[in-house]
Amino acid sequence: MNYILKKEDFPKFLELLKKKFGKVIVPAKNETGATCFQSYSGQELFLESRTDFSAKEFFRPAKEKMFSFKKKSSSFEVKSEHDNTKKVLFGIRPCGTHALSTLDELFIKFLGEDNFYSDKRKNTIIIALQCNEACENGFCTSMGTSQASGHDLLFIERGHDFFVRAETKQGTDLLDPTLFKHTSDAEPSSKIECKNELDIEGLGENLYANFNHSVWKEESERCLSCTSCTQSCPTCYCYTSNDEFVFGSGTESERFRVLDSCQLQRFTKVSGNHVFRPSREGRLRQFVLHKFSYYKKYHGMHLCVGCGRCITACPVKISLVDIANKIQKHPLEFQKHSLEAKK
Amino acid sequence: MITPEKPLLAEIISISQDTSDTKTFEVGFVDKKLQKKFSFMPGQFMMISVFGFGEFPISISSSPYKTNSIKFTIVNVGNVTNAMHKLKKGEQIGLRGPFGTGFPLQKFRKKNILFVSGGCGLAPLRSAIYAVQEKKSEFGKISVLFGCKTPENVLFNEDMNQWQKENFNVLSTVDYPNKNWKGNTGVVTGLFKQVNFSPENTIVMICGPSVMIHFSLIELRKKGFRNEQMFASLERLMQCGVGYCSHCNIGNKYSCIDGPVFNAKDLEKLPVKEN
Amino acid sequence: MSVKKVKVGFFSLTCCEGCEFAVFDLEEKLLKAFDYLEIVESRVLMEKIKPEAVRLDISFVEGSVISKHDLDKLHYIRKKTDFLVALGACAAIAGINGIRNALPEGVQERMKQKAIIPVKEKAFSLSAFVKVDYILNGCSVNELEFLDFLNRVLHGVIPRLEEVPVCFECKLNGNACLLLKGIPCLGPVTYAGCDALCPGQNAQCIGCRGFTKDANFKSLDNLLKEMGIGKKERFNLFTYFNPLPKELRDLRGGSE
Repeated sequence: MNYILKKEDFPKFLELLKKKFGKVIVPAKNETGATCFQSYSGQELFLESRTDFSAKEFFRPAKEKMFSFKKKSSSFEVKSEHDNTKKVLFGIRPCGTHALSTLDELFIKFLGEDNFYSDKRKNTIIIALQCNEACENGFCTSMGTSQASGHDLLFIERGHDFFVRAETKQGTDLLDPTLFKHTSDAEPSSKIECKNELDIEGLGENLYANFNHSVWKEESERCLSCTSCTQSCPTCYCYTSNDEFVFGSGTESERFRVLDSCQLQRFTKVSGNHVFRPSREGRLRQFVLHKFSYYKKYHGMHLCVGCGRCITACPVKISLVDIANKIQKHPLEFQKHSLEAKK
Repeated sequence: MITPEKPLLAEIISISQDTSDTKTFEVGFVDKKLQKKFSFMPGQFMMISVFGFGEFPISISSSPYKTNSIKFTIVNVGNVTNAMHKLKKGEQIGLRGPFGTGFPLQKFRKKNILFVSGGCGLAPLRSAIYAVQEKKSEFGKISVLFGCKTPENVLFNEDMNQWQKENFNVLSTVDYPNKNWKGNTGVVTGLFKQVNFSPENTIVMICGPSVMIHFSLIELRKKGFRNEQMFASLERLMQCGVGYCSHCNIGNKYSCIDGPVFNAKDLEKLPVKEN
Repeated sequence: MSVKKVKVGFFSLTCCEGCEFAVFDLEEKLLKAFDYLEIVESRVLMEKIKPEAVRLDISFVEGSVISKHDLDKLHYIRKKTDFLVALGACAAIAGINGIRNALPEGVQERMKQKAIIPVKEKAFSLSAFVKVDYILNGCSVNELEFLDFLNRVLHGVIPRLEEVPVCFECKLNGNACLLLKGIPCLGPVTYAGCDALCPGQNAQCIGCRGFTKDANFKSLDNLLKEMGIGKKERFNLFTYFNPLPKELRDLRGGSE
């Protein structure tokens, strides 16, 4: 069913949601000028394009408490955290909805539900916002992620209105009849053309076969290992778990999942200070191969939704699209440069 | 709803000091029903939580036929293992697992077995050796090769004596001998010439530092062993154990779910020494 | 937790004593820690110190070594300490005192001659003379990092210095990248732990927490150059707190 919301009524809609759920997450600018998702409190929204930082903070937070441990004489009490806060996420772009489906594949479908992720996922109503224009470095058309999926409502900007497509019952329930009117209009076309193009034909296998391609070294030479790519990425989920003592208690401690980055040496450091992936070349390759090769092998889809955030965020303009395309266009002959030949 | 990372409580039943920096902990789940249901394959690992300090992966070093309790042989190498070493009998830890692949012993029936271990790499192999010892009649000739730095680092002396009594060919070597050392000196690959059965019909299981695994495979291939006959257990930083966190990613495999025991054929294709 | 209190001392060599103040800024939080530790020596905190031959479990030493007096004091502290922590940039990387190390040699010589007290040819970090067990970097130190360190050490955990750049924390906080805005920033080559305090306020990182071992100086210098930052400015930025990295030797002297 389709509806129309007048843009002038849009703030009223957000206020209604806030009243009903307490927490509404919207795209906006923060004080440093970066665009990200934050709790709505009447601030000006950023609706021009996708945000610099993704919405993953609300599903895979940078630091997430998993368990608390309490010592009672000689035994311990282990308590698992649950997050049952209901919230509405407004303004996630089609690529963002695909990023969530990609993470669902690992944290919901792979082993069964990982409660830390699925709690948040289930308790969040998703209102996607269609893109009318391609963004700066995006390549969603290549990745097949330019149309939203798995959302509850889809908003499409149309002149002075939002054209709203309801997908689920919990989405439809949000549509207050005083603000939303039925429409029989045809859905506005929302076909976008990305400038960036990535050839994904056989990409995963091809990249892995080109493990020793010279492009890794060439591109990584200017890499600063600043982790901007992995942190702005909506699907980079790799984490480290840490225990911390509650300060001053002596008997209580907590275990956290902390977002980590494959671009850091510590990511593969074991006790005795041995680092398994010390070189910048290897770390950059890990980032790209995990996205296109490894995740695909295990979960049947790319760990990349073509949002282009990693390209925009990189201070030295390393682009995974360029790397992948270079290899796709000029792969090393398999025989000469495969791993077997290296030995 | 599952929490694959939730540690289950276990209690330390006994502790034995193996060497100056290595202890073997015997533990059992606090929930007796859980312990009763527990089974594992030699080569599999578990995650031990020392609450407040963190978690570490460790292979099981006890027999898969004796699951009233579980034994772990732990070297004191970092903050968490150091905290573990300070624990006493009766104290509680957290356990998750078992995780990963083990040595597929049931496929090795009727074959000769060669165990090659370096340092604390003997611990995960001990589980497999116990298993073979238990069903001795089902296997051919058994050899256990062990190498470590100094005579003080030699692990499981009692077990080695026992294996010798069982007519296993037990050979050990050290890098730096002292006056009392009567065994071999040099690297473990140097012991291969003392093993006198042919490559055919023999299975090799290796565990130790990655350099040792690397050279053992090279030497054994020279002796005519094929990749299909050789299995090695790799050390990586396993952290979640279930394929979530990506720390142990090596090439297109995860050592927590595809390993830690790999066939040499797979190992050959993996960028084990990723620059 | 055991009742036996950890004996702690705070010492200052040549510096502004600001790091010690930063630590005492923790107020109640630090008072809570007094259940587990006993401060044996601290010029800032104690009215009167009787220098005793008491052994210290942990010493926090701030300031650089610029004179023989500093050096003697440092050796004295090291001798009676089990775990010595370099507190702040001056102690860890010579910091502000080290600015003179980057000056032309003639100027350095003149400064040495004109100094009121006899000084060494350069300003040194503690690790130039003694074993330093841990480094708490920054100008001034981050008090929360200090607290976290105390929390770990009191439980018997020895923290490890991780090769993590300021950018990591900067991005975790969702800050806009200064380099992308055209502002020179040393975030990519500087140790994290400050919660990206400066970049979060739109101020460039000047490297007060020291350079990481994993730093890619060449690439950052190239980037700054492309942004139109002159050679002299780049030299000054890189040597503000730190010795000039080997990779950037070419920045010394002369103009572009």
